[in-house]
This record gives sequence, structure tokens and C-alpha cells, in this order.
Amino acid sequence: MSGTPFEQLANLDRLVHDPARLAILTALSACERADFLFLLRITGLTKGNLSSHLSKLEEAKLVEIEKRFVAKKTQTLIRLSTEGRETLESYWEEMETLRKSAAGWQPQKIALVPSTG
Amino acid sequence: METTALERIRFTAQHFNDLQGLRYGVPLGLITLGWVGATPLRVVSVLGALLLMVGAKWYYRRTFGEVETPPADDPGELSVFNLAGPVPRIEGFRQVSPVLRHLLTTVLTAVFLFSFFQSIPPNIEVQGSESLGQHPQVVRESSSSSFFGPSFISPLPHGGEMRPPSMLRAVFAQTMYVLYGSFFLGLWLWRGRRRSEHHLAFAALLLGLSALGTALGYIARADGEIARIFDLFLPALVYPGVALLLCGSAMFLAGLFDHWQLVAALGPTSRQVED
Repeated sequence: MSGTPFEQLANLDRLVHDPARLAILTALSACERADFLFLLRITGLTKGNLSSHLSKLEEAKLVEIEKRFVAKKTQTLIRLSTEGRETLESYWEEMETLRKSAAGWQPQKIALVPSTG
Repeated sequence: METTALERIRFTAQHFNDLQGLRYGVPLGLITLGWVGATPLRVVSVLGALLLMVGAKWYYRRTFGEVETPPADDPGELSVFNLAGPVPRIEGFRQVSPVLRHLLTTVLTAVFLFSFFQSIPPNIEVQGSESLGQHPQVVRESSSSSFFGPSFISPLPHGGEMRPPSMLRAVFAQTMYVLYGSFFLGLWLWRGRRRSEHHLAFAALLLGLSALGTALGYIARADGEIARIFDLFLPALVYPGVALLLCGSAMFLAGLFDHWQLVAALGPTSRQVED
């Protein structure tokens, strides 16, 4: 990745960079799969927001959603897909690169030329 | 989002099942504590612990949901012994889980070291009755056991002499400390040496008591005199009942701490993500 840290920041995967989706993906990366209730509790999102974020992640094929019946109730299980795991890993690599380049970045000095008009 | 919040999310998701203190730590502590009493109390404590385990499982599932940990064996791994690929896993069957593997390694190592160091010091005799609430007195046996070759050949006979029954009871107490202390140490290591300081504190306390108990053969004297600082700890070092009380309390408290940690991470006050 090249350019200033600001350009690198602009190039980050927005789908993953969103705080709520990053929290969901982080939780899923630490386990085999988790159910909807757990994600609801750990992220503190509302049901509607969590559903919306999960739909976006499913559309991007980053997570796999499975529904099953347990004691006559629907249980939604969410798993991080292989693609999701790779995307999350590359996101953290980009963030690390960004952190390093931001630490060594110095703003260019702009020469002030007095106007001759 | 802050890195610490993400770290907490990752930790809670990874250790969701072993953080369920009301399901594991507290019942195990209750069973250990109940074991100190008479048979009816033991039965009640075991039944109570079993009921608590079942109830807690239901409570955690209903309140916080479910998390499946990764399978113990990596199905994608190729091996020189099995070039065709992994053997399909039988449904529901799991090999030894990573947490159990961690605990077994730590406990077995500790037990091995304890057995070795137990066989070296001279025999002691414990005077005083635990059931009568008497303060114990430890007397070093004046034997010439060291002349009879290596004492670590067998943990029980010491240089050809059988250990006195009172010493065996003390060794049992110290074994309890080793088992529970190494269990706590294993849990602390399993959790990546973070967010689990209570386990480290209990491990240090119990393993310290076990080490002190093992050294009693050197500390005690033939006339029964012992330094005051060691005398204070003697009931805990030689009486199995006191050892069970301490170990049970530690396990009970560790379970409660785990539970509070889980509730703090998943409770309504832990909202850390902006909608």
C-alpha cells in the first residue's frame, strides 16, 4: 500500500472498518460459531441493527448464517466464512501498516511565496 | 472502536464456555467443601452441585446465548501418517479439547514434581487431632534413612521405612494444594495470562502451601519446636480437612469471579458499540 496515511485510511475496507461490523467479525473470529443472542449481548447492538449488519456481511460472503429449531424456537447461528477470516486478517495487516506509516509520517513543508502582484 | 474493547470481545468469545463459573467453578467448590463434612453433607453437596450445573447451563444459554469453540482436532491438517487427508470425525465426537490438554499438562507436571520432592525430605510425625480442633505439632523423625540409598525410588517407603500415617494425611493435604493450585495455574495459562489474575493468585497461594508442606521435613525438629511463622500455617499444611476447605473456597470464589467477569462483559452495562 502506498501514499500518505490519509490515503491509506481512505482505502480501508469500509465494510469491515465499521465499528459494529468489526466487533461482530472479531467475536466470530475467536470461536467456531455463535448464536444471535450472544452477538447481541457482546456488541450491545439492537436486534434490528445487528440483523442489518449481519445481512450486509452475509451479502459480502464474510459470514454464513444458519437457522435451526431448538425447543420449537428458531436459533440463528453465525459463522465466519473462510473469506471473512481472510478479509479480517488482511484488514488487520493494513491497519498495522497504516499505524507504522502514520508513526513515521511527517507533513511536507509548504514554501510560502510572497505574491508579487 | 478502541482496541481494548475489541480485545475484550475476542477474549469473551474465546472463553465464553469456561467463564461460566456457576456451571463449573462454583459446583466443584461446593463438592470440595461438602467433602469436609459427614456423609449426608457430602451427598447434599454433590446433589446441590449437580442441580446448580444443570440450572446454570440453562441460565447461561437463555441469558447470553451459545458459542461453539473450534474443534479439538484441526480437520484441515495433513499428516505424514495420513496423506489422504483427515479421517472424517464421528458426529459429536471430540478429541481432548485444548483447555483440557492445557490443564492436564500443567497438573501432571505439578504432580510429577511434587512426588519427586516429597520423596527427598526426612519423615515427620504429626501430633494432634484435627477432629478435636487441636493445634498440630510436627516432630522430625530421627532416622538414618539416608543411609539406605536413594529415597525417591518409591514415594511411600522412605529409605526402607514406611511413612507414618499422620505424615500420609499431611501429604494428602499437600496433594490437594498441588492439584487445585496447578489447575488454577493451567487455567491462567490457557487464558493467555491475562484477565485471569484471580486464578494466578489462587495458584500462587495453593502451590506455595504445597511447597511449604513439602519442606516440613527440613523445617521441623526432633523436639517438636518450630519457628512461629511456620507454626501459624501448620493446620493448613498437615490437616486434610483444612486443605479441602481452602481448596474448595478458592474454587468457589474463582467460579464467582469468572461469573462476574462474564456478566460484566455481556451485561447491559457493557454496551460498547455505537449503533
